[in-house]
Amino acid sequence: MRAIRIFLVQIPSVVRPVVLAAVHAAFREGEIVEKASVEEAQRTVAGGGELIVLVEPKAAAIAEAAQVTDGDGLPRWAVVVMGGGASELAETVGPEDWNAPLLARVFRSAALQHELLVENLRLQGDLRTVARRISHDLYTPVGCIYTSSQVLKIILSPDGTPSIAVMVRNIEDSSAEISQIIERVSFVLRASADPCAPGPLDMGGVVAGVLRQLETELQKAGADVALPDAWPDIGGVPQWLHVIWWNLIHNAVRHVGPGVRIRLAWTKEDRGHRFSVVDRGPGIATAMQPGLFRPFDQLHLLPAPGLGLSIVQRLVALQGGRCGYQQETDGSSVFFFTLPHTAMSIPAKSDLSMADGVSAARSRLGAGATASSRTVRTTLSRSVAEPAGRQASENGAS
Amino acid sequence: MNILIVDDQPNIARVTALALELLGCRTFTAQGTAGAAGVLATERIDAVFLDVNLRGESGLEYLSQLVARPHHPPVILFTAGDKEEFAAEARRRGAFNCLSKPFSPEDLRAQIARIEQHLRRRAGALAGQAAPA
Repeated sequence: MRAIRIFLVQIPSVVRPVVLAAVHAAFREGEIVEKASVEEAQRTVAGGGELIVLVEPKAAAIAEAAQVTDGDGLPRWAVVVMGGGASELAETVGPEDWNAPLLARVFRSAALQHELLVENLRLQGDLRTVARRISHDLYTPVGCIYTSSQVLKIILSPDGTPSIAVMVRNIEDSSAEISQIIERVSFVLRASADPCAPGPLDMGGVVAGVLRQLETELQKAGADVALPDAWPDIGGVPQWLHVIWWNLIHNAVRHVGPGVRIRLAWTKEDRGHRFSVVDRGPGIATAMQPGLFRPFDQLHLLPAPGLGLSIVQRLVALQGGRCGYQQETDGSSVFFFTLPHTAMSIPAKSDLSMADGVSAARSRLGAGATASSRTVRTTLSRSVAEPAGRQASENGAS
Repeated sequence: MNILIVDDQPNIARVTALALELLGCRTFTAQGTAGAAGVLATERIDAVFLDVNLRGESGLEYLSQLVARPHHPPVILFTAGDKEEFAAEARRRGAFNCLSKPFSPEDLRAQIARIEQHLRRRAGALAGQAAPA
């Protein structure tokens, strides 16, 4: 832990010795600053790690201390409240626990938690910057190259030589590929940095949209896609599910090849629903199976064949589900994902904004997270039965 | 057809202009709203292609200003990879259509066809209003 400054605000003389002992036990290089109020502490120049200790404060003083930000808009300090009742905005310690060893542990833990909170907010800011700003800055010139290649094709077409046409085609294909990578990566970063709350979902409508988008590819491959008669009533994030289905169906078409027969299915499970894309392709080698759904944040560790399944893994995990691969006895490949009955508690976008979300972020990382969860009604519709699997490789939130 | 392209990226503006000229359009370009206002004040513009992210300015806000003018030209909003996010808002503000970057000359051709159809319909409606009873 970095050197830390500890503000003691209006500490009564009777508890002062135990608080000082706790501070010394907790931080070898702590700088103690005593102040008469939060406002007075706030007037000092912010710097490095800071912790503020309030004894039996009024609720308004806790809120005031929790809202203070540093020059970058990040929460300025960890807040520890001794007495004064439980608070969502600070670590609280009841009078019965006012002894030096325990207070020292609370001070250390609050300071560490604060460091994590600040680091987390910074990383989220980085994600948003890459997802929105950098991706836009990259996307625009790459898009320009793509459009230029298309225009060039028109200009050259009447008398263009075949070799120039090949080069133009290369520029066109490469820029389209780069655009697609930027788009896919920024999509998953946006989803992670600003999670959407799951809501009631028309899964049939989502799948129909994906099939419309893939229409040309499906036709080109002579693919046959079988759908269930009905889809269950569930909760989820439609745009994320669109990407999940798109990747799984697109993979089946790409890897199996012409004449692929794909079956989309779902089954009800104890804790939710399982959705599958089943194909009769060559399957995945056993050695390859464990790394199929490598989490997006671990993609840098190993060379991976593509981004698609890692994007699926992240989007499924963000909805509280898991995903996996299963090879059936008849050789069919089953790529599946689950969605829970009860959608996960996902913070709303506004909770995560750096300027306004300090209290919300404190609540999540600190004491007494109170985010509500929503129960999604489920009804049992006719499902397409799935054959029992032998071997499964799974990944996702448990 | 006279088209005004408003985009802070000169390369995008250049290639869009060239593609539209190949489709038989006459084009004008501006990198920001001030330049666009200058063109609109001096030329008869049939349609505006407007980027949603102008340097230091909001394309969406400028869209609102453009469509507030009587008999305004149809405005097509360029978006970069996040069409869904802006499409609903753009429509609410009166955009004629949205076009995702990167776009192809075919996409532009389709937009021009729709604009022509729209302008013909509007001219017909105006002629109907002007005709003596």
